[in-house]
Amino acid sequence: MAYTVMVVDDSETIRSVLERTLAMTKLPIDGIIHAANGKEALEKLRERWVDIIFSDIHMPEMDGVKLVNVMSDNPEFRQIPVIIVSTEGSSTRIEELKKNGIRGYLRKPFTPERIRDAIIATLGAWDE
Amino acid sequence: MNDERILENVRVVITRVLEDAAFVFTDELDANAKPDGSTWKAEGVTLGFSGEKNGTFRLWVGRELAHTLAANILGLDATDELPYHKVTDALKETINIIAGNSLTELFGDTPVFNLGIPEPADPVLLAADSTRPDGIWLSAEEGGLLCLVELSEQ
Repeated sequence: MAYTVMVVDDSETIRSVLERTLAMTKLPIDGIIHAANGKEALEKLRERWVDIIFSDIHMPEMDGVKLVNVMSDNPEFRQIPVIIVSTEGSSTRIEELKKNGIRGYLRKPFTPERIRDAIIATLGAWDE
Repeated sequence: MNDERILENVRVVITRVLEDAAFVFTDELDANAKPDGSTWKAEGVTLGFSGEKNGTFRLWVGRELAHTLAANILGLDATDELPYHKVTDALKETINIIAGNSLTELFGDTPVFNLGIPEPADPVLLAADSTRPDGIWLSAEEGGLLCLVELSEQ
């Protein structure tokens, strides 16, 4: 089974890096959807199912915290796991995000190994 | 925390971030080798933050180094042509990572900081920034970079 991943970040650079890093994990990923902010992410979620979302926190239009809250209130989206990828390291912020329902938190800069571990821990993906 | 310790902590973070995220290896720039800010061709980005402390990070990167940094982050060859917006986007992300990691290094992982959106730095500031005694100067094979950190109480 292959997975569809969404990457949400206002930085085109980070979205490109995440896409490249996802390819380096050698996990079965057959589609990567880009969104520049939470609002765009929700619009794209209405068009296509994704299995997991990697999202930044600070973005214009709708930030990552708001995105997680909106998804939690929507029965169609609340099952989709969200992994926050951010430069922040505040344990207070991470705990708040976990209470809001995120499934994981990765600090930038990230490595393919950490991305892979986050996907496996969340989805149980494996090499074929 | 005194200013020297702040600058040293940030310098270590910059070095680590550039190595880990961009495969750029840096050394401290010798004082005699600092470029003249009035003629230095550099790209600048700035990021404000608020929380337990308020402040600003500002980063100036020599153009050749900025190009290499962006190419490396994007997994491209340093000789590839890169659109200008990709270089500036990569620098914005670099200052974002430097700021986030620096604030944790300086203040621990309990305080919450709100990082602003990185923006291009006003070129008018470069000449004055390059003469500041609190500037953090580093050099890589492709050129130099300068980082300034301004902190104020909440």
